[in-house]
Amino acid sequence: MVVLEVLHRTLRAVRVYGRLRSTLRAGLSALILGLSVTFLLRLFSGTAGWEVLWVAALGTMGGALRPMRPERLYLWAGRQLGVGEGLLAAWELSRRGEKILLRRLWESIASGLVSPRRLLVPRGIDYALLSAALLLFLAISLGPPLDSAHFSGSPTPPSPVAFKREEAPERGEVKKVKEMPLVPPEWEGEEPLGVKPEPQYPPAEVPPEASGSVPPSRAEPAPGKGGEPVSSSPEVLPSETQQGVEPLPEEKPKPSAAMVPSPEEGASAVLREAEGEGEEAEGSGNSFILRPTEETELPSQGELTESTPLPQLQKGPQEGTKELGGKAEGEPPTPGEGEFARGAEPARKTQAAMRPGEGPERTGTALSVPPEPPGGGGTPFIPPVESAEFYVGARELPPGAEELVRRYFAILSQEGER
Amino acid sequence: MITEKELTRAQEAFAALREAISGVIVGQDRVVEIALWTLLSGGHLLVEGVPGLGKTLLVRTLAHALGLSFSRIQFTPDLMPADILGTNVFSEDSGAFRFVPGPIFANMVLADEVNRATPKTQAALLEAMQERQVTVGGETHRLPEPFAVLATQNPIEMEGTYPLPEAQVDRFLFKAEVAFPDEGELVEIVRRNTEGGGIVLPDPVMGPEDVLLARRVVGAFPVPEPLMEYAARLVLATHPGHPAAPPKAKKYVQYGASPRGALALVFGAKARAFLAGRYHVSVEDIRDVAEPALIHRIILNFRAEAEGVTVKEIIGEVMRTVPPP
Repeated sequence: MVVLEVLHRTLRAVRVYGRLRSTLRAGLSALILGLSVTFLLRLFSGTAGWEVLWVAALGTMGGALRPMRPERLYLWAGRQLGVGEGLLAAWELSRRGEKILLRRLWESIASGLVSPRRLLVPRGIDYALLSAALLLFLAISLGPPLDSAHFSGSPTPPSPVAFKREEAPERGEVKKVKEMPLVPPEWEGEEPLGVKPEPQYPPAEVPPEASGSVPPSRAEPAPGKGGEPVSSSPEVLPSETQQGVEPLPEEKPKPSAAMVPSPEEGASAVLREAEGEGEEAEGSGNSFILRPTEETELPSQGELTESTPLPQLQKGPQEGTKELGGKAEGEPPTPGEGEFARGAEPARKTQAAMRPGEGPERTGTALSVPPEPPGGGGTPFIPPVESAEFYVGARELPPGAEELVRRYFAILSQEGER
Repeated sequence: MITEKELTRAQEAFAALREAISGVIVGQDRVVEIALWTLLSGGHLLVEGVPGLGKTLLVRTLAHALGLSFSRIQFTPDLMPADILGTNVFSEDSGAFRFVPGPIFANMVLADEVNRATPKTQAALLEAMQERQVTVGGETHRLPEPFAVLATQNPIEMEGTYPLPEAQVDRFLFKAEVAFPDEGELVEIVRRNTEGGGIVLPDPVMGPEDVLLARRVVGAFPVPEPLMEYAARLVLATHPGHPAAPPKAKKYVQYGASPRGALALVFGAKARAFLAGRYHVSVEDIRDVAEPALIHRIILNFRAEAEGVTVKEIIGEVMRTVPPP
């Protein structure tokens, strides 16, 4: 009887240790699976955190809840413990109640049976699994770090595009930016007109959102608006904002600074975008469009006039002073001095400033009534009556036409006052 | 349920039997082993070998040592079923027919050169082997227990023989091939037969009841489910149409082993474990028994005969490809 009690105790121990081992093995396998998935996700998309390792916990639970069949367990354990199929036969005889055979069997195998704790000793396959898990862990740990959001497991923070959309300027503000006059008030009456300073965006002053550090996922173009940020798309802006912002022509999609991969290229893109918008505004409506993109911080309150300092516009000339030929800050450039050199920006083709009446576009637009903005809610730009002399003096008009121009400006001025 | 005393008695009886046989039979350990498996399993044995290798002596020694009744039937083409089974003879004294049992009514029957008899006689013998009873004149007579037939075949003299049909060969639990003795064994055989009074058969070391007891003990040996499944997989792998069959079996086998093959595997494995002094069956027992259990149950096709492929090669391939539990 004592022999049988020992036998039953041993069988119980084998069952416990075997189950523990299968649980550990399942957990280790699941850990390797989770690490592999994490590694592959980081390798190909760079968006995987450690949360995938929950798979290991699930695998461990699965291993604990689904142990080996007793036949398999005792067969495997008997071989591990040095008694071959003896342990399985003992379990089978114990089930049948063959006590005589069972006792003889136990007496024959007990001497060669080692402690069931040996079942927990790692074997070749365990070492291989452990090595694989360690290698995967090191590969993930030594790889490129992810955003803190990925490590903490929190959801992806809202993109700056969406944030900017909430802070989009009011209709009036956008309208004022749009209606920035071609001829600044302090230049009125000056003759000849100097070179119009182009807005400068030194690379060092480009906001970080505009650089290449923005994740690629945030820079995905909106459908049908290749390369244009979502916030600048009229479809997603409030209707009031859409009235003041002219959409870009679809056949010429503007590259967005948010899509460039490096800070330098981002800065250049910002410059190009701002300049391009200015040029486009000059050709279409005597004003340039300042789009509320994520690169441009617009004031949320108060009127935005030319005297209102824009960060990029104010800081541009400071660093470009040396390239401006030693001119002081705020000093207007003199005609004929050529283009401004731009810090680290590579050489590119720029459009020289034109005096009024020099280009066909400007001539055509200057002598016509400025169009009203879309929606009809805005006030058109009315040139003052004094501007008539500016145009008359700047262009050789046929005799009699000078008086016609003066009358034209007088009528416009009266219409504006009305 | 067996008792401690029965278990001990069975083990001691068979240990003495092996010792008695080894005193008469030189070499042929494998054949003796298979014969004992057959005896412990309650089956029949087909022994194949050239003449003069001691097949008859083996069976006679076994019968003597076991204390069993023994009869020998020399199969010839003119042997009739009644010559084996017995017949009804009219008795003048009683005025009625009386059944005279044939030589098959013995515990151990040696059917020498069984392939020389006609199929009709072979069928009568094999039916008696299977049913363990004989029906003559509408009257059924039980064969004695234990009952075992050890039939011999000569593989080289095929002239005028009637090879046993596959269905009848399948009735033999095992098939043993008697190998030619090596030089040392041959010298010993010559010495024992030429010196002194010649070969002396051993005294009985056990009785028929001991054989039956040993069968009960062996029957109680556990064969766990994984080992049963392994035996079944081995048999299935001999079938050319089975997915687990190795390429060689698919190519050269016409018919695979029957379910009796799986029975033979398990019976033999138990007997082997018992004779080895163990109380449980191991995978090695099944693997060791596989060849004598399956070799006469696998039928090769013409391609195998043309290319000289043997059944042993097929079994070896099956053993290599079927993974043990």
